[in-house]
Amino acid sequence: MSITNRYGVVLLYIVWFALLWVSFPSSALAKDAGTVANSACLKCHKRNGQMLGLHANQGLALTCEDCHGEKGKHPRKGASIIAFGAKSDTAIKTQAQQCLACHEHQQLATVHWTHNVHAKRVSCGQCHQLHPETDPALLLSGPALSQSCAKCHRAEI
Amino acid sequence: MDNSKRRFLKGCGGVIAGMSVYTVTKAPQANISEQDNGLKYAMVHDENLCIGCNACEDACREVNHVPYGVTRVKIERSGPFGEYPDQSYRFIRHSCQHCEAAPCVKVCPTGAAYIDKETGIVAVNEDRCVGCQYCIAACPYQIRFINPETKVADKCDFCQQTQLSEGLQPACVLACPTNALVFGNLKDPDSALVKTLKSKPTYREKVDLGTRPKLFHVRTIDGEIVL
Repeated sequence: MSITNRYGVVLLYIVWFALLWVSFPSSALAKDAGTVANSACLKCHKRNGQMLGLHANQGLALTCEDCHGEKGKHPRKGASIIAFGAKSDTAIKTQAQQCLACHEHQQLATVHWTHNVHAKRVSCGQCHQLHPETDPALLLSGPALSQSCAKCHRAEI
Repeated sequence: MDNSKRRFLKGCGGVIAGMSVYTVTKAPQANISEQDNGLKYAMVHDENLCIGCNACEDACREVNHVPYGVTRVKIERSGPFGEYPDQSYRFIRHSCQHCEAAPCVKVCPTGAAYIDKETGIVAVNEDRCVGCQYCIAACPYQIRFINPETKVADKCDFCQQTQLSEGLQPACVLACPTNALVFGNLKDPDSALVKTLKSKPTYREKVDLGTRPKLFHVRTIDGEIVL
């Protein structure tokens, strides 16, 4: 009986809106310092520092340092910051380890068999990109996928 | 009277004997003259160079207008072998072997499946094919299929209609990024094909069936030894 009276209904409304407010992660977690969006790194890396892809998900709460390592002396010489991609100076094994910390190699193998054969020779960043909205490597299929192999695997004619 | 009858019978016997000898000797001579143009196409697939990228299949599909769901060439992948992160895969090309003694040609009731005597290519005459699928059942390599669009038995013909007629190599050979496929004339000792066959150990599938296939494979070096 008590829940159907006026005060009970008001109380239910308050609880309902409170739950609704909490369920939106953007309002609840946006103020967290250290996410990519309000990282100090973006002061310099305005263009190449923006995270738009899946890894920018607030739920993951990834920071730049989680993947790229501690800032250290960066941008001065001798910094141990980890850069990804084909042009990176970082060792392939170090690059791969950063990704493999979360992504299990068994699971990667089930997604695509080429992960296995490239495990030691190619870094993840040579095919995949995390910063853009969608990873271009995930969109490849059919002839486009075959042609991406040929970027590296090409016999001199 | 008697004498002329005997001579007549002798003469008839002589004519029959002569004709039978003539037809027996004629057949092989005709074959020799037809095959003496110095062309016999074959292919080598180097499984060590193959990376399983499927570029050959894509190129074949595009050039020969092969619909999705069926294919003239397939790279069969097996693996992974070894422990992570030192893993490898093996690739075997499945396509028409262009047998010298092709079972599909022998069983074809309409003569649609034939061996092109000038090139040694096993080809299909689409106008003659009635879609009885005897050839599909007969092929020991199981590479024939019914094209869902033309309803005709289809298979690799080394791009005879599309590429060779224009003086080009087959589409799969041109598409291969690692040059794992070598195509050429078996009878030309200077061709890249013959040089490859002489420099690398090759095998052919199911030779014990007596089909004499013309698709050669270079076995993966880390492959297991089959006894």
